Amino acid sequence: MKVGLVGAGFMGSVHLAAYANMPGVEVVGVADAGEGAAAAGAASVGARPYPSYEALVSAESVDVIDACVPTALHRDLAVRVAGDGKHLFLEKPIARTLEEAGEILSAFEASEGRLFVGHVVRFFPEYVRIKAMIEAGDLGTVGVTRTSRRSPFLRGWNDWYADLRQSGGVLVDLVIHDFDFLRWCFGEVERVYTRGVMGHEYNRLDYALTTLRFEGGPIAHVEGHWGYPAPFEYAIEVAGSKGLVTADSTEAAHLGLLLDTDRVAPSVAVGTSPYQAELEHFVRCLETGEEPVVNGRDAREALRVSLAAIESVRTGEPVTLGGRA
Amino acid sequence: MSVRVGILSFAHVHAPNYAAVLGGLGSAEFVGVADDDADRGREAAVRYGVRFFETAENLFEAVDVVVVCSENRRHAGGVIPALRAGVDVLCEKPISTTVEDAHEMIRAAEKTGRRLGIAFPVRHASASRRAREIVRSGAIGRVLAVNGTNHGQPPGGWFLDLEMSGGGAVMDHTVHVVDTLRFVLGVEVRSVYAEIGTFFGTEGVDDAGLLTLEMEGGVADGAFATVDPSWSRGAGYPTWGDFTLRITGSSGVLDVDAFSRSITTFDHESGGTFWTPTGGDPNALMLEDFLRGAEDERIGADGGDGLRALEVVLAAYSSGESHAPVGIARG
Repeated sequence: MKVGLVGAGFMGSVHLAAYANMPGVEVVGVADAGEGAAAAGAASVGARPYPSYEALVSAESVDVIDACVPTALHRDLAVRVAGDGKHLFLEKPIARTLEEAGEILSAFEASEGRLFVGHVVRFFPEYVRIKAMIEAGDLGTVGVTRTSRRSPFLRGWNDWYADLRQSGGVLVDLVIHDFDFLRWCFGEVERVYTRGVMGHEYNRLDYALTTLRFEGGPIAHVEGHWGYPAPFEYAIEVAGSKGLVTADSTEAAHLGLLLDTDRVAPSVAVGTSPYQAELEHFVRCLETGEEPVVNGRDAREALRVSLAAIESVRTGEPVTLGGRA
Repeated sequence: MSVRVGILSFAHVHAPNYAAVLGGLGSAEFVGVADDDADRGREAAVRYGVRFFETAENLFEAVDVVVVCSENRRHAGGVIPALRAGVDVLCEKPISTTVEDAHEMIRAAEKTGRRLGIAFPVRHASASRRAREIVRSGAIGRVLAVNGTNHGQPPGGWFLDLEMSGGGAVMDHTVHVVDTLRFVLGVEVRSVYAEIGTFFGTEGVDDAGLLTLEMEGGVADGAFATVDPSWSRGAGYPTWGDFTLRITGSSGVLDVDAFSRSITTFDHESGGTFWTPTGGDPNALMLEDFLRGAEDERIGADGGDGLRALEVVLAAYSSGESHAPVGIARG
């Protein structure tokens, strides 16, 4: 299977490192608007560098495009990939707006290509295990779930994370991981109430606390922090009538790695990285035709929760979700 | 001169701890117990080697201070006669189940000139007091948000009787977090939004909630705080629960863990794992504070503080019904 990667920033380099461990997958081209990034990414996997998606697909024969570009560029790129009949591995969030997400889904409905969105938390081993425990009934009736995701402020290409219009802030870019995981576990969200510091113009700081009520009854508290003054951390606690389970990235790590940089990947359990597990799953889905554990509609619904949270911050009122497709 | 102290009612689960602390305080003489459940009261009196008083009035005549540990609904009925009998009162939290009762208790203290304290031990915890200094020093900048928890295990008995308790986990635990936020940050609560539920096998009252408070004043004007008061810990949990605040400021984060898991014990016989905090027993610090003579050194909560916490709880129950933020009219 031949892959062309577009966007050789932080997440692009994580994906390239994963592909290097995946027999049967060959990265043939790496495109990035930055010449240095394209060259370095391409060299890391023995591929050829290109200045753009168009240049890559006109020179290389690829089955899959792996897109790790800024969120605001997702729609235009994804629609072109769909039009070219290629498969797309698209980094989360699916898009910046529901309209853009809808255009992407429609484009792939009409395409030979298939769409996969990288909600990688569904591939983190702790979260996979906790989801299985909930599903098996090990925890009984789940009542209250608490999640936390705390990250230093990211400095992406052209500092796009700091532009709320492009990135959507912590709720669209970071907390969406937990919104997606919670939807996976508990189904559709009924009500969203969020308070956050979005729009207060704090210097490289976005922080939000969200309460979710799920249609099935359970409630969840979701903390997200951009600008956390420490390396990336995450935690989850699920409390049920029969048991309580917690996982905390600051405890019991198999490996601990601290880097003197603001681009710090979560330290993970020893073994296959969740990013590699995610990409292997997408490749397997293409080979076998099976449905992925997270599909395009899931990605759009997670975005819907993030955008409802932003609306709640703006209005000070809870947002009731309804009338979903 | 030691202060003569009595305990009115052993209905509340905290009473045995207070009794044990009182027995070891040099500044106090634990005189005796009165209880409308005479068997319970006699048993406690025997256990702690103190006198059982047949009536509350007899107890009030024999003490300088009474600690009221009756059911929430019965607080006013014990506190007001005690104040009128000339006794200082430390009342278990919440102050009462209704704003009207709380006002009557506060008025009784004003009229009699006696002291009414509310048992909020967490503000006395060393972590809370140090956090108050750190936050007020400006070390973490402007306070933007607080992520607070006060988890516990579902209790039994009258705690699950709405008439006697006034509510479940949201009533039982929210008041601790609100009081500590007010103490540490110097804030008042402007409004509250709440999602409330019953999930953990409790019958009759709520056992879970997630509250979002909007704060005003102090060093956190306009900031928000969430409170998780859920009884989400079960019998298998290594301790009774927790009390934590993650205070996020514009230039730093302060994590407060009033009962941190400083010591972990693995008991080979029971197979159990137990966490034990260090740093002093907040109940002992609270009782010492109330019994201390010098007014200006005390940091304990009074009736007004108890009322402020109760108002937030009652607004939270209202929000849980309406699914809208509820403003708090401080009375």
